[in-house]
Amino acid sequence: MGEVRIGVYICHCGKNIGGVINPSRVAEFASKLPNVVVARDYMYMCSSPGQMLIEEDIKRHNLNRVIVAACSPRMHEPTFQGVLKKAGLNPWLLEMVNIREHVTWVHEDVPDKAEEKAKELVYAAVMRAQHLYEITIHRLPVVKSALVIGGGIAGIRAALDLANAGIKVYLVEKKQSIGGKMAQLDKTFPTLDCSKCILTPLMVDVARHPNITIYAYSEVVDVSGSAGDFKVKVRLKPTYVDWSKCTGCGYCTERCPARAPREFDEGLGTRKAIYFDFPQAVPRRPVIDPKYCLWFTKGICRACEKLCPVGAIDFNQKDRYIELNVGAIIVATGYELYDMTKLREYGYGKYKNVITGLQLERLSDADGPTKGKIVRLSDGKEPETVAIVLCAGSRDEKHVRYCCRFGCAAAIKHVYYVKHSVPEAKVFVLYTDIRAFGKGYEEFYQRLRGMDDVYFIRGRPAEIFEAKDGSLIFDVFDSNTGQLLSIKADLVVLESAVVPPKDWESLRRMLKISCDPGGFALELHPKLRPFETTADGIFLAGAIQGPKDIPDTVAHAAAAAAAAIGFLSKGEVESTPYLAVVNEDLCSGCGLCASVCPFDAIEIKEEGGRRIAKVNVIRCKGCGACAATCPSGAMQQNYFTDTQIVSEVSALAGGAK
Amino acid sequence: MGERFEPRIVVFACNWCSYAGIDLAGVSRIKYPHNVRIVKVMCSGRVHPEMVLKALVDGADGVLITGCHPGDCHYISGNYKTMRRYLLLRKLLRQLGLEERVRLEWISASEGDRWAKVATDFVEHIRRLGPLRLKEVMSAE
Amino acid sequence: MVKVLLYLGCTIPTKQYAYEISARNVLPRLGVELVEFPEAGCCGFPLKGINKNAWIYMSARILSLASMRNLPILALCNGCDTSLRKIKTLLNEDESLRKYMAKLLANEGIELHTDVEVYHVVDLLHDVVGVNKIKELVKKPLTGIKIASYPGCHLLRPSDIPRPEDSVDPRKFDNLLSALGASVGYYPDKGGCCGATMLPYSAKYALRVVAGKIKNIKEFNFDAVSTSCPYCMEMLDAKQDAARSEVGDESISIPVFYLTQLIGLAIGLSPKELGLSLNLSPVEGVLEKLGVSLSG
Repeated sequence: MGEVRIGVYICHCGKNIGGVINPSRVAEFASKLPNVVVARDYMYMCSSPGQMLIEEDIKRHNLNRVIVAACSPRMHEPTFQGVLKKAGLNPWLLEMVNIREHVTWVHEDVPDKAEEKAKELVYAAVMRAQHLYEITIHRLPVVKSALVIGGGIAGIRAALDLANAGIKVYLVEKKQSIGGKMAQLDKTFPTLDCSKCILTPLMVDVARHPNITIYAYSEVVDVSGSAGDFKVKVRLKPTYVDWSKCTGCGYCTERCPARAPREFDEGLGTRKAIYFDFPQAVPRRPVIDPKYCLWFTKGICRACEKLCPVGAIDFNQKDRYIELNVGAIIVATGYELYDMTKLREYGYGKYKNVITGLQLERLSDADGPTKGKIVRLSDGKEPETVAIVLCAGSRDEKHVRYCCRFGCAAAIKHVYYVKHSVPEAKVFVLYTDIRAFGKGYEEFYQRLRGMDDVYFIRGRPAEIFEAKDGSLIFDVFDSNTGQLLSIKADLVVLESAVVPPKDWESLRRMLKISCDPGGFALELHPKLRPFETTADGIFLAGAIQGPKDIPDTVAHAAAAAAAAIGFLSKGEVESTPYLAVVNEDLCSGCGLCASVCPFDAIEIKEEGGRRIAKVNVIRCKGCGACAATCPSGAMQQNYFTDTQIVSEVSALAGGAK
Repeated sequence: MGERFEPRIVVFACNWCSYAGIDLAGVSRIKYPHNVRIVKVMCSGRVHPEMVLKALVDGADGVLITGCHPGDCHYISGNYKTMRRYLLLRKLLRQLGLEERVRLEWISASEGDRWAKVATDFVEHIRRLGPLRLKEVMSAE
Repeated sequence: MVKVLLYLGCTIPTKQYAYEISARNVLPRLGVELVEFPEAGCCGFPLKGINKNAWIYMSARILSLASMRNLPILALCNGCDTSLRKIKTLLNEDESLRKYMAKLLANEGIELHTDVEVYHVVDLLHDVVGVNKIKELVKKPLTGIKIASYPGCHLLRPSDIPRPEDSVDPRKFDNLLSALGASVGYYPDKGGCCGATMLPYSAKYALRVVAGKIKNIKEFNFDAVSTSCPYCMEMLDAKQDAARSEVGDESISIPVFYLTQLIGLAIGLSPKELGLSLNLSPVEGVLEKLGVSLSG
């Protein structure tokens, strides 16, 4: 840059600084320092005339460094950087000295010491400024499209909001149909809406939206790139049906002779080997399950192929891979129920009449295995007594520590299901606390608690046994009344603990998102930024961030979409000014820098027969950990190079000359 | 002479937590000794032990390294590196009899009053230890 | 051939003689050599609610004495087995407790050692001798007899120390009975307490527990019950009559045998060799089915 020409400006900040020290004396001191061409003091440096003063000086005196001693840089650094920009100087040739928050506001009682300190800080800034250099911000165009992983209500809401904002959306869903858990529910609390009735219109909106492409029966297998420019590899699993030819008539599913357990019914009902997840499936294109298909297992049948009016069956299909290029990713992979067989004392999996709340939803659903009748699984008879056990696995040191959040409301809803299906039934709700926090939840609770033959017992059964007739017997201590009760129930419903999906771990690592102690995705801030992650451009929607009910999921997903829209609409993504930069001549490719980078922003690449560290300018967030770790000094940090820092440190340690 | 020894303390403060905490002490007008000189870094993880040693060699009587509380680092893990480097540095300084002159403290953006206390304690601590005069000793050789 | 120190505890030599009689006659025939262990006293189990350190001391003493003999311990009683294993775990985990006990034992001239294997009849026979070996020795299979295994709560719990049986789904006892040719099966609350510890201060409720247990078992069509603990036997067998009167239900009546007595019958021993005349529950019916007479 040639000759260093520094302008120093001491602000009075009214009486804030000027009332404790003498700024003109500091300016006079500064004028004698190395390479200082002009030094002034002024009442309000940040005011219009104050800024003009600097701008004019830059032009008049050909300044190429500016030092402003005033308030904290956290207050006005951008202001003064703007002045430099306006005057045609690179904004990072500015140095601010904090003589208000760090000097005059805290050392009022010793004004002479305060002034001495102010002078020393200015001196150190002048020594540091000798080594400042121009910093370029890298701007990369953002790809104006988004990937939504997971097609439950969270993914659906986020996809619609993004698409409506004009952004191209790719929605990847691992199952045959979108809809998620909400599609498996019969009704939703507290309104008792039919769940599928409020969900399916949104599913259809997604299918019809010109900006949304659904990849169902698919999964994300690789993610690379950085915010604004992600490259995502998606595996389209073989459905053995050519979905481009298929019309969704469903004839194949009617005629298939093979049966399989129906996952949608949580193992209670059956489906065919060629199937839709449920009748209102989106996309309405079936899938063949090779584990049960007679052609795959025994080499016979192929009825679907013979019957398909458009010849869409293709037994030779293989995995297909596509690559998507997106600017933002929304993770909406939802939750799973904790494995109830782990609660060995409750006999789930051993005793036929112990079921989960989700299984009860399937029994209650008209599309379910019993066409909506709630019955005992052992003999198909209507239950006379039903016991609903809350917090099964939740709030438990041995299983899952946290609360599942929607269990209480679900249990109250399940009381309704049972009383609606079997009006004379006795229902016991065995609870730890009733958390009816949402809008309308308390009223819903009071209403159902007041029904005849509905008993809310504050206690947890210790061990459940099976009687000869398949009913369940157990003791429970009701801490409300101090009584030990012995209950015989025809059906026991466990409101299970909620955990992140089993296969979430590999996706999480691909995206480089941290997780919380429960395994859920870690948000940037639990109160203020629950839908963002430390990874730029990656947002969280729904229960993957923590158990939630539907209203909270929808709000969370909409927030994630809004944040993604904001991110994408800027059109560009900027690198941090405090970027890590490699002096390639000095770099030996040892890789220590890459190992300490929290953002995986450094790659060691082979180039010209050598190994060199390469910084991804978008992934780098400017922490400087790599620079501190580099053994050769090859890695430096813009605006915080070793030379810059050490010159400041040395000047402060030695005192002003 | 009868003049009281005034320690010279260099402080490394991270932009997101400690520097903000020190600003807060200023905004709250909490008084603390003038002897501290703040060096801003983006993250305490930027601080290399050599910088700490340079401060001592060039005239500082004591050095304070401040950063975000563990778990709160804006860059996720920078302060963990600081912690590890500091422990090694202390071991080295112990051999030179200097470990009392360098201290690591976590200051969050809301801990203005804590900063004032930390600064006051450390300045008094160094005052009791007396001047280091490493610079003079080294230039005499 | 496995060699073990026969540890009888306190209840067996004073009240439940049939267990000792049947064990002494049956176990050697299964390849278990029983070595006398007269220097071992009470395991301290009855004391544990009154003075924990006394309990720990008494079991620690037994473990140390066994270590000096360099042989594993075979406990016949569930309570003894639990005590020994619990104290073994405690002393391995708590350094200061171990030092304290070592000091106390030194007063007796005993060096504290806890590296001794502790067995109960159920896991010794199932895991060491093996179900197949026992099957081979069966001469008079207990065919057509449905036997409810009653392992006893201390065989299953507490689950944070090694126990012979799984705390929620105990199988070993049933496997042993199956090896004898008997049929086995589920009934609710198999691992529940027999009420023995309640007996001293709340006899009424303890007896009701016994009655409830027998009622459950009968509901599931079992012909007999088998147990492996003298306390359980005391409750289910000796106190059966009292339980029946307490609840006023004549159907509370079922034969109760020690596991060792049933093994003895299956391998062809006589009722006299198994102390069967000492059982207070109505065992004649089952013995008749097996073609055996009590006086034989």
